[in-house]
Amino acid sequence: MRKYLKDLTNLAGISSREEKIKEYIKSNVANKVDEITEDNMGNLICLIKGKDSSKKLMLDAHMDEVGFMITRINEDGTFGISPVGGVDPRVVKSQRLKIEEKISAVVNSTPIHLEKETDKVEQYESIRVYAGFSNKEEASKKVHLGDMVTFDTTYYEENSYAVAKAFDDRVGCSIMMDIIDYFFENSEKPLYDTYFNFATQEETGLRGTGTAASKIHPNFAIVLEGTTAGDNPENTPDKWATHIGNGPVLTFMHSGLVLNKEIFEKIVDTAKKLGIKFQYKMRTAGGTDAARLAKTLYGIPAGVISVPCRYIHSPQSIMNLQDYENTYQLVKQLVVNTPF
Amino acid sequence: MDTSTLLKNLSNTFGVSSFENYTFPLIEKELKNISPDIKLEKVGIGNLVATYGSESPKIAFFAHVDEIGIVISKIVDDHFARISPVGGVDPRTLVGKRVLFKTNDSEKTGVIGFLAPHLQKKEDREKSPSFDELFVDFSISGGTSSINVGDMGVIHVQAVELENGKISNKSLDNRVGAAVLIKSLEYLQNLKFEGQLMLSFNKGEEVGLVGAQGSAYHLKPDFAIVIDVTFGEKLPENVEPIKLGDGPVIGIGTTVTRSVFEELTKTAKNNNIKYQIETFTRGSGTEADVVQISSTGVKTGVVSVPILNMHSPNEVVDVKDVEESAKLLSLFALNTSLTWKGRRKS
Repeated sequence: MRKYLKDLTNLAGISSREEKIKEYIKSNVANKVDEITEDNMGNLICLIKGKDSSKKLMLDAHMDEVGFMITRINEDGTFGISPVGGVDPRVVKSQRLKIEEKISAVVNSTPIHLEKETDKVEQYESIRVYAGFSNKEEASKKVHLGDMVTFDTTYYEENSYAVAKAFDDRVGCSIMMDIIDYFFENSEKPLYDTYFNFATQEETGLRGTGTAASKIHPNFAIVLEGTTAGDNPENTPDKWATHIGNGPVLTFMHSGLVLNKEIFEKIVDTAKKLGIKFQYKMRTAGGTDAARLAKTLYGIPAGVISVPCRYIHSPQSIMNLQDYENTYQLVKQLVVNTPF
Repeated sequence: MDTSTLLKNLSNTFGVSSFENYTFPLIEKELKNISPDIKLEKVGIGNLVATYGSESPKIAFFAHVDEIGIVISKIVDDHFARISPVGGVDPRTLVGKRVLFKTNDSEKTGVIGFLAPHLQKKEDREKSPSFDELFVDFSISGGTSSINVGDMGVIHVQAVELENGKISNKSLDNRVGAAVLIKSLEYLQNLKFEGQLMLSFNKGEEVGLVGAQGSAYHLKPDFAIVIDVTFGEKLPENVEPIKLGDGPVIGIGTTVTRSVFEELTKTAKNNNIKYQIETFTRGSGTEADVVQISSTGVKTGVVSVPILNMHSPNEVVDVKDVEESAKLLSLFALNTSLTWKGRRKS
């Protein structure tokens, strides 16, 4: 288990540029599933046939991460960038970046000696990215408008925690891959025909998953996410969204959707029966692909299960490995033999 | 060792002010490689001084080896601790960074966390956090149980090569200076230098020019050059800009002795070394400010290497500028020694 998480978070793939993530997943699940298809939005759909083909379950995790795009090449050879997905400009200051995964770049920062106002927020309008080019002509030979820019962060784990970029939502992708491995290694079948949808473009407005669902026509769906913790020292526990170490996060409502009650309760019951530590999401901010699924076809009912992560949408998010394990166990139990 | 590797190795070491003991061994080893007979000693508060040659004139090159950093000021709970700056640290440069803390026997990784946009309040978005609000999350390395107030840390990055011979890392201020000193010795070995060159690698510049004072007092050089980094970016409109890749920056003005400035520029011109000029109208912000007025006064010059993004984890230097600065210094030492002995015509 957790064989793929490190690779998945180290790879780069902003919304609309998920191809590297997809190739990686494809090459690792190729001979383990009954069918692999891709749709026009780039979703990767992997089917494992179940014991009972009367119902279809869709598992969904998005491949894309938040990042940036080159939106300007300046005369001095530096670049202007704009965020793809929600990235607070304050976490961009002085970061290391990669352009198209190959060119190293840094975010320029005026020395403290020359700029005394250190509480001012440096906005995207003034952020300059430097890669060593001395003018526009030179820069334009290697870097182009629309090029993908990502945080240059390497996965690291110690004891029971891990730090990386893009846990939102490579952690969901990783759990789906682990479940595919489980069926393959144990020559087992899920209860229902199970479609693992590795979705595109969640971060830019839940744009990927709908077209995949339209193809699959699932009876119900379970969305896997890496979600916000918010258990920072400035917040008292009553303001936390979740707490890392307290197990999988079960969501009853989030932005744009109250989750299907039956599915929610089924998930809660299953977690209780397994005797694992779990928690409810205590804030309703932030959305998931479940909101899109509810508005797709006949309105697909869905549940949402997340791994709590600190500092998502930043280059350094932290996750508890026991939370990952418990989330995996819960999702696996739901897929293996929980009747809906 | 080639300059690029030397710069990377030096800037990768941990050396927050007062904690330079990981950087010194690397410098000592490199100096011994270049000149096996070089005399090494610790001076004053622990500055490393290397002496090459004997007799006079006594020429000293100064560079501080310490870097800015952060220090634990309060333990909040099992996971979190508060920090204060060591030297001039813009708190905004710390947000969303991985950090590394060192004690004498262990290393601890932490993360300076930042609330995800989903949970932020609108009114908090207009302001960047100050040191009162920043925190380090040590969950990743077993929590705060083995962390103590006073432990020192840095932003955990390693050197990276950018396009066109540029290197980016933390602590190029002033491992660049240390590299220039080392390289100048390497070049000087092939010249007919007849004097004594003392290389002083100093502690504690970033917290108030602490180390250089003692070295200058102890060494009593006839000539001193301070090597540091300077701003290679946009400066106020009334000041001439300095650019990466345009060569060493020679200081003029207060804290610089005019004859030393003249010797440096003459040396550069005679040897086709492209150089830039930086004006000091008050202090230079370098060790020259204390070296020049040490004891009965020292004839002092300043040679700086331009970098980008000073005091951030993304400082950038052009390797060529480092090599040209080292060349200029070695030729300065040679010419000064020849003039001293009356063997130079000009």
